[in-house]
Amino acid sequence: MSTAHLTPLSRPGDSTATHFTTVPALAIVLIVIAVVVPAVAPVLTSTVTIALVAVVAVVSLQSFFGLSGVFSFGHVGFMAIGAYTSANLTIPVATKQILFPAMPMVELNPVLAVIIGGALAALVAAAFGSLLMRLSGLVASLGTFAFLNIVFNAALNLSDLTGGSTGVSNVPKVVGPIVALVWAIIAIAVVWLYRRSRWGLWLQATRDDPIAAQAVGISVFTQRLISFVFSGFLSGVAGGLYAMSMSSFNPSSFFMAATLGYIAMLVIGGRLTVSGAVTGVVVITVLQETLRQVERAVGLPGLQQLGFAAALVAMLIWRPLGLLAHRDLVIPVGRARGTEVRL
Amino acid sequence: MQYVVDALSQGSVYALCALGIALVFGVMGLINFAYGELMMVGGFALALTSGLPLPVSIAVMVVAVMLTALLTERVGFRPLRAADGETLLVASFGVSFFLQALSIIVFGSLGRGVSVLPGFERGIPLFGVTVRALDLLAIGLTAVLLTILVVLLRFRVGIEMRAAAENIEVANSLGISTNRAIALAFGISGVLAAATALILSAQRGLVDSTFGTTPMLMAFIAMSIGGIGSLPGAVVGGYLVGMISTAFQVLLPSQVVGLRDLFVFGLVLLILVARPQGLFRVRGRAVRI
Repeated sequence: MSTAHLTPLSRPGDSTATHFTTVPALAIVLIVIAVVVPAVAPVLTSTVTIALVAVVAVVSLQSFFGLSGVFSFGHVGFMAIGAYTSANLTIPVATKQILFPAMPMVELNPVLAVIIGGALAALVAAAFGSLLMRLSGLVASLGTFAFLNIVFNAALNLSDLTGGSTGVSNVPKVVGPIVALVWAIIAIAVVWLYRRSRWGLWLQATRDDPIAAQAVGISVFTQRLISFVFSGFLSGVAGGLYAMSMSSFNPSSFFMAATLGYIAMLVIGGRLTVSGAVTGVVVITVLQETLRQVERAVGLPGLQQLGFAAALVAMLIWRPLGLLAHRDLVIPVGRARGTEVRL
Repeated sequence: MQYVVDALSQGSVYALCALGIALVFGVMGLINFAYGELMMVGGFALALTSGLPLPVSIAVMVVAVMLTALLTERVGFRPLRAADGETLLVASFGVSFFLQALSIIVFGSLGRGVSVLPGFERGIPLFGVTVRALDLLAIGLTAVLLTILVVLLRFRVGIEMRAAAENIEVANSLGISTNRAIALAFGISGVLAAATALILSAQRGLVDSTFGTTPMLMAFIAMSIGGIGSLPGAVVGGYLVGMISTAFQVLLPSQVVGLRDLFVFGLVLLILVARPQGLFRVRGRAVRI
C-alpha cells in the first residue's frame, strides 16, 4: 500500500514525457463541457464558469507543486492579488466614486486588467520567492502558508483598495463559460509547454533527486523560483477571472476553504500532469455540486468541506499520485495508444 | 513590565504549540496542521463540561484531546508513514479541515461560549505594576510542562522516543517499537495542546472552528525560526515570536496596527534568510551524501 511512496515519482521515460495531442485532447473535453452543460442545464452555467476558472488556478498550482514537489499555500494568495487588482482597474468610475472613493479612477479593458493582475502577482511571487525558495522544501511550504496569511491580513486591513471584510462588489461580470474556456485552454497549453521545456525538465529533476540534479549543475533555487513566478502569474490571472465571473468577493474568498478546494482538485486528479489537474477540477466540481444538493436537503452546512477533506486524505492514503498518476490524456494517433504515453 | 509579561505569556502559548508540533515532526517528519484542531477539541470539551467541577472538566478535556490526537494518528497518518514530508503536510491539512467541518456540523459556525478560570481575569500587583493572573498562569504552566518534558526525555521512554526521532530503522533494530514511539509523541503533543487550549479558552471565552488557527500559524513560524525538528529551537522560537509580535503591537502607530502580523512575518522571513536552517541546527537532519 505504501510502497508507492518509496519509488521515485518518475519512472524512467514517462513522468516527464509529453505528447503533442494532450492539449487538443483536454481542449476538446473542456469545449464539450463549456458548450453542452450550459445548453442542457442553464442553472449550471455559473458552475461551469467557476470550474473553468478553477482549471486555470489548478494547472498553475500543478506547474509549481506538481513539478517541484514543494507544496504551496501561497497560490490562493496570488489569486487574491490578481482579483483585487482586476477589481481596482475595472469597476466603473461612476460606481467607484460612490462605493470606493480611494480606488484609482481608471477603467481598463478587462483583458488588460487580468494581465496586469497576473503581472503584479508574479512580481510579488518574485519578491517572496527569492526569499522563500532558498529554504528547504518543508520550511518553504510553511513560508507560503505565512504568505497566504499576510495577503489575507492585508486584504482585511487595506480597506481603501479592498473594501475590508465586506470586500468589493460591482466588478463587471464579463467572464462567462466561453471566455473562461479560452483562458483555461491557454493556461493548459502554457503549462504543458513549460513542463516539456528545459526549465520544466530541470525542475522535475530537482523534485525526483535534488542531489543528483545539483550534481549536474541544476540550481534548485533558480528552478523553483522560476516556477514560483510563472505559476504566480497564472494564479494572478485566475484570480482576475474569478473576480470578473463572480462580480463580488471578499478576503475569505481567497483563504483556507479556497486553498483546500484547489489542493483537493490537484491531489485527487493527479498532481504530476496537466491532465490530472483538469480531471481533478471536473471530478471535484461534480462532487461539490452533489454535496451542495445534499447539504441543502439535509440542512448540514459544512458537509461540503467534510467531503472534500475526507476525499483528500483517502486519496493520499490509497492512491497518493491521484486518479491519473503519471498518465496524460492523449488522442490516440501514431505511436500513442490508450492514455499512457511513453517516449 | 506589563509588556514583558504580555510577551512572555504570548510566547508561552506559542512555545507550547511549537513544541507539540516539533515533537511529532521529530518522530515521523509530519508537520501536523491538525494541531490547531486538537486545541479546538479541547476548547469544546471545556465548553461542554463547564457545569462540572474544574478538575473534572480539565481531566475530561485532556483525555478528549489525547484521544483525538491518537485517533488522527491511527486513521489518517499511520497509513502514510512511509510518505514524504510534503504528502504528510497535505494530508494533515485535510485532517485539519475535516475536524473543522465536523465542528461546524456539530456546533455550528458560531461556536460556543466558554467560561473557565473566571477568577484569573483579575489583576495581581507585582513589582509595582498590575498583571493579569491569567498571564502568570500561562507562564507558570508552560514552565512546569517544560520541566516535566525535559525530565521525561531523560528517562527510558524519552530516550526511546529521541532514538526513534533520530533514525527510525536503527531504533527498530534495537527493539524500539515505532508505533509506541509515535503514539507516545502524539500523546504528549495532545497534552501540550490541551494545556494551550485551557489558556486560550480562558483568554478568549469563545470556541469556534478556527479556534486554533492563529496560534498554530505562529507555532509554525516559531518552529521555522528555531530550526525545524529541534525541540529547544521550538521553545526559543515560540518566545521569540511572542516578543516580536508584542513589540510590534506596542511600537506600531495605531493606523497600521492591524497589519501587525504582516510585520511579524516580514521580520521572520529576514531571520530565515540570514539563517536558513533556523537558530538551532538539528544534526540528524543534515543532508548527507
